Amino acid sequence: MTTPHIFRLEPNPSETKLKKFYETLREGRLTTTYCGKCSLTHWPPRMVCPNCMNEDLNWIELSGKGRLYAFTEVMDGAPLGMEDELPYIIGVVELDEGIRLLARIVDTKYGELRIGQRVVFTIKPRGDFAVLSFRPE
Amino acid sequence: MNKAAIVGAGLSKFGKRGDVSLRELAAEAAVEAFKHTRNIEPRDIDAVFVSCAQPERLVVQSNVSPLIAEYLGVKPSRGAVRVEAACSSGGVALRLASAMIAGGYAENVLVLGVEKMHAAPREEVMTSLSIVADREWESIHGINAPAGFALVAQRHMHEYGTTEEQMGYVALKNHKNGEMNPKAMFRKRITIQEYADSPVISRPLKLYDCSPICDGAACVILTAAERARRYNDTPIIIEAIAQSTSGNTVSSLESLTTWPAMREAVSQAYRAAGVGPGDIDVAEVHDCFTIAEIVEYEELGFCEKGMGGRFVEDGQSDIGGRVAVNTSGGLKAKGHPIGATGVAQAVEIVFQLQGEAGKRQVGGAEIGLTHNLGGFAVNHVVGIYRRAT
Repeated sequence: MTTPHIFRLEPNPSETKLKKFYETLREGRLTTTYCGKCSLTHWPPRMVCPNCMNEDLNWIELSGKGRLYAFTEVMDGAPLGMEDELPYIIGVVELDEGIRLLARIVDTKYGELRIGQRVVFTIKPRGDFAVLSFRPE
Repeated sequence: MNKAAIVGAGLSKFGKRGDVSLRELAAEAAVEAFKHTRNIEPRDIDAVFVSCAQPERLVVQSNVSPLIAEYLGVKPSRGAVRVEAACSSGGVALRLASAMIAGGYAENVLVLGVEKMHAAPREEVMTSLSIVADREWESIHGINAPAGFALVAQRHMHEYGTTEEQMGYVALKNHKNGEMNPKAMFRKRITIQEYADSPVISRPLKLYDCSPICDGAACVILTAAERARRYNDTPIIIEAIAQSTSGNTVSSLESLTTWPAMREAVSQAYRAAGVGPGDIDVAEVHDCFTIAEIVEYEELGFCEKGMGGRFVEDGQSDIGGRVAVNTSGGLKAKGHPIGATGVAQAVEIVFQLQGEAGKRQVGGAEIGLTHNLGGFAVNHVVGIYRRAT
């Protein structure tokens, strides 16, 4: 018998104020928060602007398009619950908006990827959770 | 300001320590540290810092600082506290202990770093290391420590032409040094062929690019520099110890290959100690992965930006080179019990500056440096040490 783990790594959308992010993510839309006072797009989305402490933030939809800044193929050492996904590719994507974020890179092979290549946002299901992912354009 | 001095230093045997519990591992290091002093016993310690990153998950025990103090017979009248800053916990504990002495809040402080990582199932350990990253935004993608530094390695190769072979030279050097350290987990040299043939963990990093999961403990005893000779003939003065932090996510970093928080800590430490990179005789730096040591040469000013791969390839960081780096074997060969690491780095520098480092001794070493990193290169502690004259 393997040791059960109490917590899943995936956040519970009902236990965060970012419920809207997870709802739209499941619909296949990539959203984040924007501070009108500072004209600042945040990543990750948040409830308070880290630049001016403004709590009245707007939800905006991101282009979901960008370039691959760095990537790796994980062959070993997956966290609990992800062992069956090995090997998998993780990448840092630089969105056209200038935001850099970490995501899964899917529908491709490691050997076919290169730094700077165009990628687009997509989602991959893991149980009832939508994993933020990108695939080659 | 009262500078703190290290008057006692000790290390447990590092490795897979199924023969001892967490507190027994801690005691091995503490006993050696007390033996290394004179006129000071557990009852003379008035404050305790225990650096331990993840005991709740790894040994199912919290509140470990009073637990370890009690086991050692220490009754800290000015308090015991645990410090957690992931892999930089030890460096942070050492800095806070120095500040206690500088501020006059305590007289004799015991700093004990410990981690027991082999007791938990491997999958639990992997999860524990993954959640050092931001769980909601990064760990959910399955990032682990090797993957994070694989991204750094890929960018460094892309931007500066660093090669896998150059990363291999870091592993070769640290294994060579570890062979001379009786406390090291791995006491064997490796060849560049063995390095190249080792299994891929997270492309481009291979097994021999990675520091091992390890059990171990390290201990130093601090007192005010002006009282230090009472307790040791050759006290080691902490000339400066600085810490700087950026955010926790990869998106908070300006680049993967330039670490502004490290530069900040480095510059604060050099300024406070009144020294520069050319003055350092011996350094213990955070080689959790070989690429990290390469970036750190650059951020410490040991070489130009982008030249870290060449620096190790040319033997500049060997014992006998421009600056001896990771004479203990580093995290790579000595081992990386996460809470113990930052304290263990200081222990090696103490032995080097006191001329007690045995076969791996750097001749005439007078000024030493430690660099301890936490998280995805987001937290950095830099210490500078000098043998009291």
